[in-house]
Amino acid sequence: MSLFDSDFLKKLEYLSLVSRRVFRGRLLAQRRTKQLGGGIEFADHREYTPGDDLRYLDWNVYAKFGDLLLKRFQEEEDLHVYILLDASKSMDTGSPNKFDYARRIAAALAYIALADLDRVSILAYADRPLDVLPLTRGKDRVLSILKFLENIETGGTGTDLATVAKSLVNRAQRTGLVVIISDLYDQVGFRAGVDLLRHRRFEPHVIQIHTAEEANPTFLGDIELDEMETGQRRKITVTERKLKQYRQLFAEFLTSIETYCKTYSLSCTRSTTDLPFDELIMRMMRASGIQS
Amino acid sequence: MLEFANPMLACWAALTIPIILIYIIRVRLRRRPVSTLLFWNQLFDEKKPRAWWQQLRHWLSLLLQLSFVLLLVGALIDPLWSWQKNTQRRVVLILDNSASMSAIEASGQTRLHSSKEIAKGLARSLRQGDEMSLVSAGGQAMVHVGLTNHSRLLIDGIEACPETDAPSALVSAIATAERLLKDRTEKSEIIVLTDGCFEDFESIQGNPLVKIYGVGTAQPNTAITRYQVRRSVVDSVGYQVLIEVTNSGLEEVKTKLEISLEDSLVDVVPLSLKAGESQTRILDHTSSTGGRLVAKLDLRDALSTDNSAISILPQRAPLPVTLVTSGSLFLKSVLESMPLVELTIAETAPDAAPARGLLVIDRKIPEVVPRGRVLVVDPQNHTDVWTVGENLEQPIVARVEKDSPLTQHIRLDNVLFPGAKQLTFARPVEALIRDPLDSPMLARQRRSGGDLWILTCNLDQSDLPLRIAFPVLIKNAIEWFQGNEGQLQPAVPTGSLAQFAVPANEQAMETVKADVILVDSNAVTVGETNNDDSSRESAVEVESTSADSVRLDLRVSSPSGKSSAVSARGDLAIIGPILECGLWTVDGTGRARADAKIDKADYRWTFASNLTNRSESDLKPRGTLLTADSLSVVSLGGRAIWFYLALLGLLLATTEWWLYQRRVVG
Repeated sequence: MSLFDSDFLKKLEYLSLVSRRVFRGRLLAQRRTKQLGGGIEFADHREYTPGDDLRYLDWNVYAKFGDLLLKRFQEEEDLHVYILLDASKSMDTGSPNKFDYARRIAAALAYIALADLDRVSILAYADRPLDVLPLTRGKDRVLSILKFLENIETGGTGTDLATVAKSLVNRAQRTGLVVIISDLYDQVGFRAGVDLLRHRRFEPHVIQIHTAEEANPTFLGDIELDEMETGQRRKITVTERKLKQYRQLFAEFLTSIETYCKTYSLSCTRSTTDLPFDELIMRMMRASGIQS
Repeated sequence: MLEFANPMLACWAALTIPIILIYIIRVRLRRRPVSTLLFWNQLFDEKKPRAWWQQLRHWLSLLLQLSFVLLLVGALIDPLWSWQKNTQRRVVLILDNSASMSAIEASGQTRLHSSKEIAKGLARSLRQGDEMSLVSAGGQAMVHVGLTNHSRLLIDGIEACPETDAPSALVSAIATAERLLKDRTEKSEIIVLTDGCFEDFESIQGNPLVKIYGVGTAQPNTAITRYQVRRSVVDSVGYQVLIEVTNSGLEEVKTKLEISLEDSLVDVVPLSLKAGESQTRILDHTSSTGGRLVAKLDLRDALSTDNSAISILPQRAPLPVTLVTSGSLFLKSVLESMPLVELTIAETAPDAAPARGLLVIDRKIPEVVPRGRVLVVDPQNHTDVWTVGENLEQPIVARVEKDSPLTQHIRLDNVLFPGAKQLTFARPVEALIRDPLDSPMLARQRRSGGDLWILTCNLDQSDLPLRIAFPVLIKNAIEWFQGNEGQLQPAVPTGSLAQFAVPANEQAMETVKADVILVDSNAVTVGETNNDDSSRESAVEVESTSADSVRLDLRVSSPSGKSSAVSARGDLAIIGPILECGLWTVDGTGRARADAKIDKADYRWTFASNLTNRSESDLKPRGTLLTADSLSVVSLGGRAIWFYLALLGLLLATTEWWLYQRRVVG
């Protein structure tokens, strides 16, 4: 395994341990779902209606105010984690390779989820779903997940998260956490897809990956650009001023993603491929711990 | 109307075709894979250039490149104005490097510097077929570079043209230029770059061949315009300084004139000169030591050369005099009163007069008259020179030779010389004072070893010692015997020739003192009058001893330290024209001839040179001059058209590179 070597697996184990010790009960599994049911932690009250279980009647409130209110508790259950991995051709670029980096992150998150007894599903997509790993559970499924990730290849003729999200929504048995790992060079489709997931009560988490060269290109002069995803070409003359404008445009793009996520209280992590993946995971854990 | 020197080279304009083709076809671009064109599309589609010049930027690039090529081709074909083509110019450029051209202008540069810059511009503008020559006119006309087309040679000649302290010699320079252009059939011209501070301006202006261009502006200047020193007529160690100071400015000037001898201040004279005024001062001072006598104006003006003048005051060596007498109080007293006399009293007469001195014998005359310079008073006995006769019948002074320097300033009318004897001489003598019967009472006899004077008069009985004429007569005799020794040498005005007698051997050097003989017309007014008889006598002695002479190798050193050989013709050598103010030194080193009795002889002669030229010190042009700016138009700023075309092409190439290669224009 060149992509997931022994060092990588050691790092995964380390990340799993850290996640359990430091963020116990705060990450992925062991976390509270929004479903109310037979848990032990109080959530809120509702009015009593005939037929309700009298064991959950709040007698203290009745004694004090004379109102019949029923106590509601949060129900604890295992979490469904859906990892949407962007496998479009735009991901197959950069050094280190953007797609390899994304797969490592996906593997790390899957490992942590499995270690916490959550269910994990991975969906590789481009302009359509390319490959799907159905929901699976148990730490013993790690190797099959890694093998699945390693076998994924980039493809498609574009990126369309909206279509993929629609497919996921239709396919998923339950709602859960949706981790989108992508370069997000599909602004319209990305927003539509995330909006759909939100509306269907999924919890989207965005991990945006790009290379340093994409953020800060250095080439100048007359150049023919070849887009990897669509094969489209464009002859341009790159000047210092154009480069400056590009950087500004790219920064605006990143800011717009952040603004979108903040608007809908979505968790968003951004990184370049030169940041070690384990460090990115740690950063994500810290961010989730604060938010959860 | 433009013509071209190399029209065939216009074929290089075909280079524009491949440029246009390359521009249209464009070379294959570098291909670069990118993740997405999302941002590039936004950048280039949404931010399209809106200014018209931005839309035309590619065409502008092509235009710049084509212009660059066409300008280079234009430089190659070398365009000429029609007047340049028709006129194969033959120009003699006369650079006035006289003293006034050293005046400093308001810009801080000298006039000569400015004229050199203009001249270099003219030299650079020479075209194929043009020829130019360079002549300078400071002190004398000098051809620095003959007619040539080589600009570098001319520029080097212009840069090497030195400043001089001499007056302008433009008339002779123009004559030289006309000789240079004599055989040229083409259209020729003489361009003079001058400040116009010279005489004979009108005669030059009338010459149709000559164009006079002015350099510099009129400036005020105060100068020493006359400076001469001479020995005092009443004092053996005294001297008189004649100084004339002229203010050629338009405002009154107050200054001080400082006289110093060997850097010791001798006199300070305050001066107040109105505009255009000249003041002359005669100052009397004494000095037996001699040295450099410098007059200096205490001011700073445009021309510093004429603010000082220098002359050499020779040392007055004491004259050893031996008086042989039995007690003549008059002679003893009068000789003791002479400032430069070292008197020795003796009882008996020696065989010869003291070296470089005088022997005075009162009555006690030996039979053989001693050698050397001898003055005999009241001879009473026969000698080998004369025979004593009876007393004169009428010992009264009847006639005195007024022209002789020995009897100048003497009035002896009707003075009695009691006891005067009738003398008969073996050899002819020159009678300076005679009695009514023409018998000599004061006679002079020339001898090769020194003159002999005979005064027949009994001083004890005569009233001659009681008269003023007696000390004057003795003083004249002393100075006569001293000859030219200690005489002042006149300073040489710059631009003149200095001529001097070259001593042939050691003996000659002892007796002959070189005299400066001024050759030009100023000599009479500036130079000090020399003793003609003495000069003649010196020349005689040089000739008589030439058989034992030593050949001298003479070198002259200028005040700035430049040294050059001096060729002597016979016993005369000429230096000049003198182009620098200050002290000049002539050094001679002797080489013995085969038949010479001596092995070696060294010789040194120093003379001073001053500007003292009112015309040069007046820093205002004497007439209307053409402005030198028009010369810049002729030379197109000092370069040919092709140079500017090539320069413009280079500028365009640089602009294109900066705009497009540096991606200033996207």
